[in-house]
Amino acid sequence: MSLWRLVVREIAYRKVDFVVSAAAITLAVAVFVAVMTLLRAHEARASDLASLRKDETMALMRTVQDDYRKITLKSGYNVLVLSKDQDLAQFYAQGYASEFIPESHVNKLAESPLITVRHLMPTLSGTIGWSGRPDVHAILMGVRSEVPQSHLDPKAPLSQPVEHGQVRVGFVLARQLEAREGDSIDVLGRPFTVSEVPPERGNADDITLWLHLEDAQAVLNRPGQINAIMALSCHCAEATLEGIRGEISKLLPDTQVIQLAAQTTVRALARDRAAALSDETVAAEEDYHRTQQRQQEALAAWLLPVAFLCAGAWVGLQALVNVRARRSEIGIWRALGLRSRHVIFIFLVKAVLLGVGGALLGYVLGFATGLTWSHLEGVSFGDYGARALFDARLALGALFLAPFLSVLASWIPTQIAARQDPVLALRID
Amino acid sequence: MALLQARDLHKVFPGPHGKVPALAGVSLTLDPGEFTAIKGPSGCGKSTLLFTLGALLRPDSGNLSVLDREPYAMTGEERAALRAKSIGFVFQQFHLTPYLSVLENVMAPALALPSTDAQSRALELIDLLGLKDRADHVPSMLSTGERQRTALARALLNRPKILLADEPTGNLDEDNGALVLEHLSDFAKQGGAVVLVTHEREAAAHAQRVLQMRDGRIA
Ligand SMILES: Nc1ncnc2c1ncn2[C@@H]1O[C@H](COP(=O)(O)OP(=O)(O)O)[C@@H](O)[C@H]1O
Ligand SMILES: [Mg+2]
Repeated sequence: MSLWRLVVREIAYRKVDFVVSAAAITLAVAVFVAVMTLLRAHEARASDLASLRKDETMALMRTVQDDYRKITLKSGYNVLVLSKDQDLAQFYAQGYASEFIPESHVNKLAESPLITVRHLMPTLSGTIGWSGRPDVHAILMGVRSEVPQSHLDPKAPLSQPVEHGQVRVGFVLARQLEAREGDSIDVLGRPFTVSEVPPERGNADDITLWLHLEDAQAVLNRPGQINAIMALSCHCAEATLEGIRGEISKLLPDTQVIQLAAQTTVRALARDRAAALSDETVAAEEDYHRTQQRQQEALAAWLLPVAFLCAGAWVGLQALVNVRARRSEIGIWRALGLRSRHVIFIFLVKAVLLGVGGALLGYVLGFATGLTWSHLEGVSFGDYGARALFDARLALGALFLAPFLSVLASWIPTQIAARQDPVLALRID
Repeated sequence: MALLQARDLHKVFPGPHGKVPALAGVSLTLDPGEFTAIKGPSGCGKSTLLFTLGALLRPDSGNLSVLDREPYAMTGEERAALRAKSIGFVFQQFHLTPYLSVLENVMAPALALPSTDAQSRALELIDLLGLKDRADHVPSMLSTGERQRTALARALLNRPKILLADEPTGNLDEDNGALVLEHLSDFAKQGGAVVLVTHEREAAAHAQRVLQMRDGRIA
């Protein structure tokens, strides 16, 4: 016979006392588990609705991206060919390229049998100023109409070309230089006739000066050189961006290729549309669950400590009654030579069993209550049934917390039992 | 060599009408094989003496040695170990644990002094005391005589050297009382020391010496 067996025998002998004590723990654990399950139900429902909305957005985004991919497949890719030495950070920051490539690259690209490009626009750019006008700066852009491809029909130019000896002046720049159409202005010491002042655009165009490419090469002293080739509607055997980039860098090894399209625009577009489409009632329900969750959290904050305190007090009182009832029992154990630590062991094992028993029953009871309650509060059972709401951590927590509480509550009665004078107990009767 | 030696034991209890001297200078020696009976009127200090000899109640003054060791110079743990190993108690009220079977009650001292043969020893004692058919019964199902024999078997489990019995026959009929006294005699014959507290003349007849106690003193 072991001390454990002795404890179990005593529990069986005083069943009712044990049940009365365990009931308090069961009740406290049940309240705890029910409240936590209910909170979890609201949380599960709310986050599920949130992810539902996210899924909708993602699906829409995929559709938009797919559409975009189909369009580019049909119309080809728009790319920019730059010098391999071009610092891209600098390029994106200032809006034009500053490293040079030979103008002959344009012809190589145009004549390549592997790549078909609908429009090729070589540009040469740089910044310039005017002596005596330190406040005026301009971006000089040398352009030319796209290079016609020998094996294709000539296409309509995408932008208005500039003739030799003429200049197109950006809106702001024209104001600063007081230049009007037909005026003659000086660009790095050479006279040009203003062919056009385009309307204000609110971007770098407003301070740009467009010349014919050859004129730009002359004033910048860069004959036969350019900074970039804009290639629109590129196609190759492999209908992917990677394929195009591969072909071009094989053909022009000293260049790099970047795409002229913003993926981010696609995403933003998709998100906007998803947000617009998102069901308002879903958002409202999500809101309801979040509110319920907050209110019940506040309730739990005072209900749980009160429940556990009451259960602890009850268990402690019952333990004290148990110790008093077993005085002569304890007395005879001591007379037989059992140490006080044996007595402590006996009462604490009982407390642990009490806690475990109460926790198991309390968990089942609390979980069932939590399920029913959350059902009554409108958490649909179909998707958020028992399995989804079962929380292993909560179960384990209750299983550890309750015995701990029980041991804590039984601590003082146990100490009283251990210190009891055996002689006094053995005299009684 | 004496199994137990008590010298000039004193114990005073506080009472409602002043101090009660339960032990007022008791000296006593127990030799192996000795059966001692202590008689005396109620309240003269017999139970107090037995608890003190049994290393359960510290005297106010005086000296006790049990098997050449001094229980009241030891720690509580050591004293408990000494009780488990060397001293057996039998009480008028049996003090059986109500939810344990006869066998489990008899084996209870093994919780304090574990041994591998505890169960066979318990069964042997149960057989010896005529409780074979009662081994699985709980105390409430036993007659008083059976209860006291269970308590006696429990006291003997760890083979103590000293057996202290406080009016063990007080609640028993004549036959059962005689049976218990018979077993106490046998214990003494096998080399143990028995102290029997009683106020029955027939009970005292089993003893080799009968001490008379009055007002906390042995006359
Ligand atoms: N714990 C105690 N507190 C106060 N008085 C006690 C206590 N134990 C015993 N007594 C008193 O000591 C005296 C001796 O008691 P006890 O040894 O039980 O006598 P006996 O066993 O001979 O009847 C009695 O007067 C009793 O009331
Ligand atoms: Mg007495």
